[in-house]
Amino acid sequence: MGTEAKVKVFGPARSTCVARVLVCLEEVGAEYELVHVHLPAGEHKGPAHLARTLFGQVPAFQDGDLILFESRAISRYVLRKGASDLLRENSLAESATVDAWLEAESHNFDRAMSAITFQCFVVPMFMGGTTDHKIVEENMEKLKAALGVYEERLTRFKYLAGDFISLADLSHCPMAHYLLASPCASVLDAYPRVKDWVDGMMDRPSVKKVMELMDAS
Amino acid sequence: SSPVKVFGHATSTNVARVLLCLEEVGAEYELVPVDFLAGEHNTPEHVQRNPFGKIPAFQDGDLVLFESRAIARYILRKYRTPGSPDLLGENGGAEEAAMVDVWTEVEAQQYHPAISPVVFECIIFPVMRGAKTDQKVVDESLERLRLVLGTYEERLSKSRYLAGDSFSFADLNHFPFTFYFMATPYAALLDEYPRVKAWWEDLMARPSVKRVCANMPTKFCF
Repeated sequence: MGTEAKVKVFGPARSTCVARVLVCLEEVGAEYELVHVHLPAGEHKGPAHLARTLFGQVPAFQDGDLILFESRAISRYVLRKGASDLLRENSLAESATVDAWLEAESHNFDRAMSAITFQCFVVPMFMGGTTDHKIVEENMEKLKAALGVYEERLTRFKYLAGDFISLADLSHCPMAHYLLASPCASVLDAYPRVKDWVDGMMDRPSVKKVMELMDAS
Repeated sequence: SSPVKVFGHATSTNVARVLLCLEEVGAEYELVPVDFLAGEHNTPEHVQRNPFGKIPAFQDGDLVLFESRAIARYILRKYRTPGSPDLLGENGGAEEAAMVDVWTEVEAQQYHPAISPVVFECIIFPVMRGAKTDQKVVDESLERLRLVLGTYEERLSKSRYLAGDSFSFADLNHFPFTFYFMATPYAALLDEYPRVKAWWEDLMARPSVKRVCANMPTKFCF
């Protein structure tokens, strides 16, 4: 992004949605400023943050006068502006396939993982509550169903959208980081190609850098 | 070239999303039914098209796609004619396209989770499974929906359409579930948000929407 002013990302790096955007910024080598938003203090529902995002979610993103929210929308913008090939927008067929697997990540993998991490981390650590194991079990079944689809797909292609890595793959990394750190990590053992695919992505410099930011946040 | 194929039923919300985009760009298509009751969505043939065994699936020549929003984007990119509107905002520059993406995500991540349980409990589960409406789920969803609609009301006070001054893919994505919501006993909720109501009526007046509506029921017997 050259000599323009740095873009800003608002939110804690440990939020998987924030981390998703950071991975994209690292992939295109953009300079950015991470502005912390303190969720436990309710800063995301305060007037300054609501002015940016209307729904009080993280991340918010600012590039000059442009303010965006919703991590996958921000990610697309960052990748396009950085002339990245992670969206494959030079090909109608490839970009559509990337879109399909990005939607699949959002509605299947992320939804199940969000419920699991909420119960296993957020409820006991930030809300003083107890994990609802029924919810965890229900969502583990949904996660396994998704992993089964991925395993089949990855027997035929190197990555989800084809033999090229794309945003559809990288969008999984933040949640995968928490999965690998959790007691549920062994769920991946039954899906060897998925495990290799995850390990490969976790080895990327951009992903490593963001995982460090997540852990330090 | 032969018409594209959409696998699923015209009454399905996510199929309707795709049909709406086909109608917007005036592309020819063939609707191929998938027999859920016979388990056709779990057959190898269908799973090859939609690995999660859902509808819609889509075929254009050699390309097979799943996920209605991804299919819709592809249709709007490939089949857009000079005369049809730039619903993805991609010719307007990175910022316009980004705003369309933002509000498309908002529909998926905020609006849909609030409104869809009402549609599932009041229409889909009773019709498809003979199930009774879970009023607790409905009430909780309506509470969430009120908050979302309040935010939409604010947005539409500053912007003619969700993503900006022009009608876009973001607005269009709200059609399927809102259509069925208006067939539940809770339709009057929209009257509490006048700008949202006006935006909805504007959407319903589009020729493409009228054509898709014609194949979607508004009265249900259960």
